[in-house]
Amino acid sequence: MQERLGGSPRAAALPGRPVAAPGQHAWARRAAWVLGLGAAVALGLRLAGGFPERWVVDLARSFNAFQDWVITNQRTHPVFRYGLVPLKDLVNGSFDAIVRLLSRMTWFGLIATLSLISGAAAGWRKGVLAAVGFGSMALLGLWPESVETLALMVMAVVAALAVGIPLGIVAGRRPVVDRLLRPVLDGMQTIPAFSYLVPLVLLFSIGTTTALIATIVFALPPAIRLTSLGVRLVSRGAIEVAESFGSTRRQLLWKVQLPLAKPHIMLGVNQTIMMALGMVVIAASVGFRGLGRVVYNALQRRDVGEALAGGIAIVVLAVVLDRVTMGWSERDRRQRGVGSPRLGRWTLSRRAVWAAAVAGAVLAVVVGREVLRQQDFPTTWALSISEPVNRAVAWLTLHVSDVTEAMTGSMIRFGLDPLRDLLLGVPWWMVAGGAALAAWKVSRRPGLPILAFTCVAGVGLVGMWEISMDTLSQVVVAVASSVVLAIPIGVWSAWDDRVRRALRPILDAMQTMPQFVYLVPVVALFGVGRVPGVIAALVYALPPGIRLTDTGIRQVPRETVEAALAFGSTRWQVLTKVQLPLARPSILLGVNQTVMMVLSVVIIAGLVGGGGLGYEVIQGLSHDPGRGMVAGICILLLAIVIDRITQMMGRVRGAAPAAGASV
Amino acid sequence: MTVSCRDVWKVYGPRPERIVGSPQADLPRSELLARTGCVAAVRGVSFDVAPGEVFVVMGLSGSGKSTLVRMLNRLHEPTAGTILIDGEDIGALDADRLRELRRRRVSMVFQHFGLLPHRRIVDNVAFGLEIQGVDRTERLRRAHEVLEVVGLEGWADAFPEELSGGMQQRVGLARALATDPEIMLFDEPFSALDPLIRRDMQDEVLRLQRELRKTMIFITHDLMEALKLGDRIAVMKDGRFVQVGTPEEVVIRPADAYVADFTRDVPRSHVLRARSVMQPPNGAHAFAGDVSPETLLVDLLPILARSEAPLRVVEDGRAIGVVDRAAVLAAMVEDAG
Repeated sequence: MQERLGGSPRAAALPGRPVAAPGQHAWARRAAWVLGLGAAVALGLRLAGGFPERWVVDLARSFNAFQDWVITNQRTHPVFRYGLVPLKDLVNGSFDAIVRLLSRMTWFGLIATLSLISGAAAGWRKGVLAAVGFGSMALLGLWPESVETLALMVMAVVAALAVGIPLGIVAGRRPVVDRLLRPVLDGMQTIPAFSYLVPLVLLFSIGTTTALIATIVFALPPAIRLTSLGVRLVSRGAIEVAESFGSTRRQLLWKVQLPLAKPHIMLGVNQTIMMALGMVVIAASVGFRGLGRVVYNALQRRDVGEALAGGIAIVVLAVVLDRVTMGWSERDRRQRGVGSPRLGRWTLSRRAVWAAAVAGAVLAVVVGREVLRQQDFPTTWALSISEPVNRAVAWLTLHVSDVTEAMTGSMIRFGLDPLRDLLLGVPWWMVAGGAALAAWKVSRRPGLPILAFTCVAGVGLVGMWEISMDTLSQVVVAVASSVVLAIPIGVWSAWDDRVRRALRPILDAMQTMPQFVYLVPVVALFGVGRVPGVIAALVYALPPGIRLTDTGIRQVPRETVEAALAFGSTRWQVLTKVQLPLARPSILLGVNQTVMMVLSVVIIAGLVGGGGLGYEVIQGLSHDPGRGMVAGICILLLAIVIDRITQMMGRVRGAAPAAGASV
Repeated sequence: MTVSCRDVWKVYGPRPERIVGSPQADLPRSELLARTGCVAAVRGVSFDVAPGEVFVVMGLSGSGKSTLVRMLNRLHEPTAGTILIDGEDIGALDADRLRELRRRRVSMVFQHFGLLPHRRIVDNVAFGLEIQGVDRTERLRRAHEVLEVVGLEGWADAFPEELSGGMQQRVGLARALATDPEIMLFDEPFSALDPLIRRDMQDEVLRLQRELRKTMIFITHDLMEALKLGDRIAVMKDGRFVQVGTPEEVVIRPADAYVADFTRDVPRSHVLRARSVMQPPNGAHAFAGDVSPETLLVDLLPILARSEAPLRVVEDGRAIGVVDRAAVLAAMVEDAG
């Protein structure tokens, strides 16, 4: 059956490929495809749908047994006594110490210190931004939570950089190491944040250790990747120069490779910080305190006002951290090429600036401790926004609920439900076969289709078929809507510089915000359920789609467009016959990123009633870790299939004519 | 001899040593690649460079000249052959001694300058000394001195990107001079520069050579540059030297059709010198002036145009010949060969 499904349309398609097929053939081919698929689905719906129960392997029980074993043995078994338990104590101890240290600096001292450091590193504007940012976090009445989040961030980022940068250097200098690390890093970046938590919960149960380790692991890849990239990008010429003057390998590293790789390493630091923030927030689901917890609890209570306050604090923190680290690295790059005499003075004054910043910080701490005598920001000074927000939300719900309910209804009726029913209505092997067929279409090699089939079948085997198909239907709907929105906006932005300028800050802000935060406004407007998750996901995934469409079109050589215009093309013809085809690799890369981002949010949406695998993971984290683990594995399997197929779309299509000719 | 190469080979590819000296090495490049997966970049090159000599290797891109110069300081390892510097086999040096050689005795000027963008000009010039471990004050003092020699003393604190291409290559030159090496390797140093700036830089090299008498090995694809700078020129093609000789020899007596084709458009008056066209002293006594035997014909022409009288060729205060208008004209129109 799969043979026929895969075989006949392919046979029809292949002869057309090598030669540029005339229009009629293309139509005929497409019609054959549609008919073939339609027939297959119609047939499939008549067969028994879903995955047969009797084949299901219960992995959850083994995982739970494992956890029970962990719990009974954690006082006695050497792995725990000498490995994991001391590690846990160390992590908890250091975390408490950092929180205590930061608290003792008092709110005033800490805000002043952070702002002065930001100012000295990235310029006074960034210093002001930091002061306003941290100040507003205090004003929102979330100071203790902010300090906890900050403390975990500091620990995780320091650890991730301490591991990631040296590893990146080694990978950058030794291609063998790079080749070994690359698939591991690819894998790590495919896994949605949530899935990192479950296995750690099995070992460490919930708490700070799990949050910290998950954060470190999650934030590690960009530090390694960008350091390695920076080192590898140092030109052959610069290395030859150093060698020709007799550098040792150490001299080569410190005098040439590291200084030249610095901009990339700084970018890696920035990305590591942003990834860490995203994870620290999600770590609320394993019982970590901090700002994420505020949002998490408020969302559970459906207290939109409180969730919004927490969300704002997180966004502010993200924006401050992002802008300050970016400003720091940009300034570092710019300091070159300033006229020479001024630079001499500038180096001097930079030292002076740092000295002044440190002095100011010490002074502020003293003022905080001795004059103000307030460790925490006084609650009486804080502004509570939750009351007015909740009132506004109530008003909004009253007035726009018709619209949002209509949207929700139609999305369920015309998108989510039919798709889910379809996926569940046909036999499992038809879904897996469809994935394999898609994989074959994009790769034309047997490896990927086999992988796709196995992964999809695996989801059924572990007993998560229905839940996974629910998640899959949400992903598909969100991706399709996101792409449909992103491409026209991207085209518009490529055509009109004003649109691009207007979009830029919006997209920047959107890309800075952790995924978790997207749920808050959506819940305010759409309530809970599957639809808000899908909407949060599609909005979250818009920026890369827009940006990569824009870039792809703008990268089309001017002369090519001029040639089309010279032959009298209309704007539409230029777009459809020149710009979009040439921008295709870039747009497909955008689709790949969209898919991965959608997947991660759809899973987090389990928090707001999205159901699916995300809900299983969240339940698992607190009640049934075994089942959570199984759901995490399913997320991973789906992520692998979706990522590999969409990645291949971008890669192989460009080379398709050559591949076709050789068939 | 300062630099001596004996039957030096460089072959890239799997098991490159089997190609060396085998009949396969004479195959055309594409055929060798198809049959063995190897590319023979340098094939059995031998030459000697005397102290203080400017030895130019000229060839088109892909002729193997850049590979050749990189083997002289072992940035590329030779596949076979011996390279002697001051009689010492550099192929036998261990890593430490090789670094010493690179630090103190051989320096290199690169085609794309190879300045380090994160360092000020003065720190770029001091780079070689820094690698040697010279302390900061001393190396900066030395760098400032050398910057003065190349005429960039005002730019010490600038960064490379603030300088024009010509100035950047002056920095490259200063960096190579700063370690006071006996041998300087130039890998097409001026090919990325505009023609006018290129001429300035060539004059700069000639001036430095007059003042400092370094041994220079200079790679170029520009025949006019080779003729201008080289005491001797090696013409390289497909990894072999097809001719080694003085500029005059290369132009007047090209070794084969390839070299002849190359030199066909060279104005002979720019290459031939008084020595090669003079006749023995013939008793004449009215002369338009005295010239050195190394004077180019192009410089004789204005004098001869003004006067019917011949020129006397004088070396070490002794008249060794005469040059008249007819001899110069005859030499300029004579066919090569």
